[in-house]
This record gives sequence, structure tokens and C-alpha cells, in this order.
Amino acid sequence: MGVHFVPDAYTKATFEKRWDSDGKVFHNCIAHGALTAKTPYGIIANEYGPVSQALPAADKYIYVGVPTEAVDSGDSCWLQIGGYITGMISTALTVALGHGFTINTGAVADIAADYSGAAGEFATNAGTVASSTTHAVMLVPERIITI
Amino acid sequence: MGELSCFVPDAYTYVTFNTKYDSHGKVWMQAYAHAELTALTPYKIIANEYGQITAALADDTKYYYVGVPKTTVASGATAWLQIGGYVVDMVTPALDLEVGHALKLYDGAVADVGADYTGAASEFAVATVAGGAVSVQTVMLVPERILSTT
Repeated sequence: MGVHFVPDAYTKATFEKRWDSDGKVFHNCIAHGALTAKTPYGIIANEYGPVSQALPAADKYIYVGVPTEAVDSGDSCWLQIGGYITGMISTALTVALGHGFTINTGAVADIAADYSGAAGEFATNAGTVASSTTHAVMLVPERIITI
Repeated sequence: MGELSCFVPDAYTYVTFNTKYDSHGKVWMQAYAHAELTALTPYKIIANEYGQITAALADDTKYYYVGVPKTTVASGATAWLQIGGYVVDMVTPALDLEVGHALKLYDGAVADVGADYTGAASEFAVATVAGGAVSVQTVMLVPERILSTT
């Protein structure tokens, strides 16, 4: 998936998603700046196709993508948008197993209830409940509207 | 869709997020059954910490897929629910549909939009057979994530 895409002067990243055998889903984009490993970013589009961005404020439609390793500014990269990932970075949150993560006012937040598909929700907590800045989560590979 | 055959569930990921497209136009989504599923009855497909899972329709405003199991599914089983394409005898409340009219999720139940399918937020299917008030419908499911309404 995605291996047939050939970037050119007009199209620098493919909109086609990549599906791995372990259930993980990836989205190609151009890094808008240096991307920090395991940190969530928005994926939107510009005149060259998909591009990353810092998490936006409310009412924006984005995918939430997490780079598994650091990415240089301007590089083409694959951000994980679906499936299991450990060590996803957030502000310090205490999140119960199964609770949803949302993008609220430009940051990752706990909805304090089970994932339900409400606006803004992009992942389900799959790890421990103690206060932490890193989380094991199940990313849900759908475009969301931020809140 | 060769990548589907490569998916291997493990302790963290029970089902794939990928969809399956059949040669006759039907589209399927995998989910873990939250309870016993009744054949041909619409359910939500949302997610939990293990991936996609079914849920009963509810009176809410939420984003989800609408999936219809072809046969009964035992609680806790992994199943493929139909989310797109032609389906016969989908179970609904008594509705008197016209061909081309949309079905939507409203107040936790399947409802008749009373007009042709337009792609509005809560619409998930198109009637293909005119009714007379009946509680099973022949429809074309539209395989998109919807936003239910109240």
C-alpha cells in the first residue's frame, strides 16, 4: 500500500493509507517542521498533498498522526493514525483503561469516559491508569473534528 | 485486498481497521461483538482499547459506522459486519419507504428521511424497494462513518 506512489513537483505525499499486518494504520505526509517521536500531530493538506501541523484549536477536521521516530522538517514520513502504540506523549494525564482521548483546545485530553465516537475523540486508552505523560493507546484511524 | 489476509490479531489488537470489498459490491468491517448480535439488525461499530467493537444503537450524537451482521454472532466473537452494498431484510421499526429515500439514525433508531439520499450527516442507507409499513427493508448501505442525530 502506497509503494507505487511516485512524488513529483506537484504531489509530495500520497493520500493512500498503509495497513500493516499487526493492525497498525499509517498516513503519509510532509513534515511541516521537526517532528518529535511519539508526539501527536494533525494531518491536513496543502497545495502538495497531506502535511503535518501542530494540533489545532477547535472545529478543524484532521487526522491525528503519531511519528514512531523523529522526523526532519520537510521530510516525507508515515505517521501512525490507527492501531496500538506505546509511549504516546501528552501532558500529564490519569486515564482509565478504555477511556477516550480527544483533541481539546489544541492538546490531548482525557474525556473521562469510555471511547464513544464523540467529536474530537481519536484514541482509546489501552494502558495503565496512573498519572503519566506517556500512554499506550489504540489509535482510531478516522478523521476527527477537534473540540 | 491482500493485506487483510496478513492481519494477525494479538493481545493488543483483536480486529483490523481495514475494510473488505467483495466482488458483488458489498463492503465489510471487522468488529468484536459486544454482545450476541441478531442477524440483519443494524449496530454501531465504534472502538475500544482492542480495536473496533460493536454497540447497540443509542439516542446520541456520535460518530460511528452502521454495521449489519449477516447471521447471528455470539458475544465476544470476531465478526465481519456489512457496512456497504445491497442487503435484504434489514431489520428496522415499521417504515413505509419509497425507492431512493434515505434511512438515517435518529433518536437511537433507524428512521426514514422522507426524501432522497443526500449524504447528510446521519444518513447511512438508501431504500431500494418501496414498502408499505414493514419492519424489514431492502437497502443499499453507504459505507461511510455517520454522525447520529437526536
